Amino acid sequence: MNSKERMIRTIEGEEPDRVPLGTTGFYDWTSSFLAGALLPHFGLAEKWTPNGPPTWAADHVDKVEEMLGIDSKKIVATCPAEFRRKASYDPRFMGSGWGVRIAPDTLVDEFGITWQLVLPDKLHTRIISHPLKDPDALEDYVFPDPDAEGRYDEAEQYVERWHEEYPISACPADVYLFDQGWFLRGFHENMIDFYRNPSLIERMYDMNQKFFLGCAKRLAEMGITILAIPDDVAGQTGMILAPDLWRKHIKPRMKEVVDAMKRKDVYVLYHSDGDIGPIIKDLIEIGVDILNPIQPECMDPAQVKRTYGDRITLCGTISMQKTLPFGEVGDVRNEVIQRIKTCGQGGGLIIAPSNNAELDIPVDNFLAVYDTTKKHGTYPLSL
Amino acid sequence: MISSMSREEILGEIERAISDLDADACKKACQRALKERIAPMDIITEGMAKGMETVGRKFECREIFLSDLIMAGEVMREAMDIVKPNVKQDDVRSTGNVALGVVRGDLHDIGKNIVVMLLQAAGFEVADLGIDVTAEKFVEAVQKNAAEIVGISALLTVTMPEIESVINELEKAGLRKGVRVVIGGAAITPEYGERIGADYAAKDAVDGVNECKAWAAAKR
Repeated sequence: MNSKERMIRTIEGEEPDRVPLGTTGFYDWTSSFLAGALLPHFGLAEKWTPNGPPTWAADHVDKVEEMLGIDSKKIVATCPAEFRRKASYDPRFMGSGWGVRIAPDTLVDEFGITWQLVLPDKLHTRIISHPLKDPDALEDYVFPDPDAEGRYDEAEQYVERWHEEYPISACPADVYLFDQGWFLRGFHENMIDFYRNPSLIERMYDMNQKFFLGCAKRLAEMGITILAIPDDVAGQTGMILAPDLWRKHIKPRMKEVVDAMKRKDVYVLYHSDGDIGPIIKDLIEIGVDILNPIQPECMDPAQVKRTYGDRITLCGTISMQKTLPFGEVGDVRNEVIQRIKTCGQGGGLIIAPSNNAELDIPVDNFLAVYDTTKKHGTYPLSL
Repeated sequence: MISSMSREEILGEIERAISDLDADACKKACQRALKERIAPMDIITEGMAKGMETVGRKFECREIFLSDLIMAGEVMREAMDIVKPNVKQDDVRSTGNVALGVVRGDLHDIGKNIVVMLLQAAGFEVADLGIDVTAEKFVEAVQKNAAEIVGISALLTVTMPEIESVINELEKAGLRKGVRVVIGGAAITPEYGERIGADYAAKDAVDGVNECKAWAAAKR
């Protein structure tokens, strides 16, 4: 059974040959962990370059994923040819990684958002300028064109290369409506918009939806297996955006995306950090197939499985805030085994760390997630 | 002379307006309160602060969410713009002095910003140090502001060790015994807080502010 069949079986609620393995969280690899830990471990350190093709498409990253036994390939955000002519690529930056460099540590992305690398390790970014901080700027603001020439060049080649053997998960931009909204407006301003200026939310979301859905359809035509919708609407102890506001402004639009994907037999993965308990039913209702990352500190994966496991696949679940950074290898093994036991029956489980790996995770702990799943995740489960 | 019923009703309107996230109603009620010569500090402490307490309780019970909390803060801020200019310096009653920030290398400040808003609503003087704050800057802020409480926030596990650095720097500067150290952030646990010598590990913004209020009240 190859990775594609393994993954599809588990998403369909059937037991494949073993529990499939996913990548760290949903996003592209963090530069710090990839460059600082994984590539050196696998003897590929000299391959690291701040320039070149997107990380997700790089051969050396494919090699790492192969050695780990990861059962999917992913395409993280896209960027058109015209923008690339004036931009440079830097994998330390979010999104497509492409941006117009206005200072050694500062890029302006395709959305006009200015990102800066943060001290002390210069491997994380923050937004230092929001293009729609002034709400009147929305009048003249133009979202990127989903059909811009060259946007899908790498994606097409990547799908062509891997689609028979691997399920390919793709995302048009590494964030959806809620995150993109505050990236553009500023966090505080955007939160107040929901109460004071809901028509601005609606206009901005309509424009963003046109871009996201347009890209999603193009990727679906190309032959991806899974469309990922990443949108961090929750924090450690609960939703950031009130569920009623999510249902009003985001749910119907997400349903539109899901419906379009279903027509092309593409599965949909939804990613949000934190505790999204209040909206899981809604996500199932609109047809989301996979929930990611299910941080165990925020939601009990076993309980999610018990309550919703017959209708949705769990992806992630391995602690990034406790076990992986602070536990021993034995603790990681025990957690993976426990997760397989409580969440793996009948398929519907993809094991992965429950968010982006950082440099405080010992490499041996990280590898233990994958080794343990390969050793103990064979179906029928005998744990 | 204002009838006590009328005074209570007006302050109750302010409290309700904040709890209902109704900025217009809150501003109107504050203007009426000033017109009826209710003392500005009483408007703040008995009307607005009570409204924020109700909001905090609802948040803890998960009846409302973070976006609601932020909007409540905005309602309060706009009402403060009306009331504060009427407060005489002599009448100012500070609940306490806090210096807080997000540690070096970390830029996640949503929680910290909520804490600042709630502390100010509760009458604290707050030195907001921002993000990416070195241990030395925390110490400087305590000295400069005579802070009694130090709030330290870190979201990422990889920046959590910086919290311990701040506590160590406070020790080195001879300031540790004189301050209450409250820590917070997604990965923070009470066990971690105890291990590194913090006084309290808050589970969320409202919990952290409640701890500051309880400690300040006990100190008085």
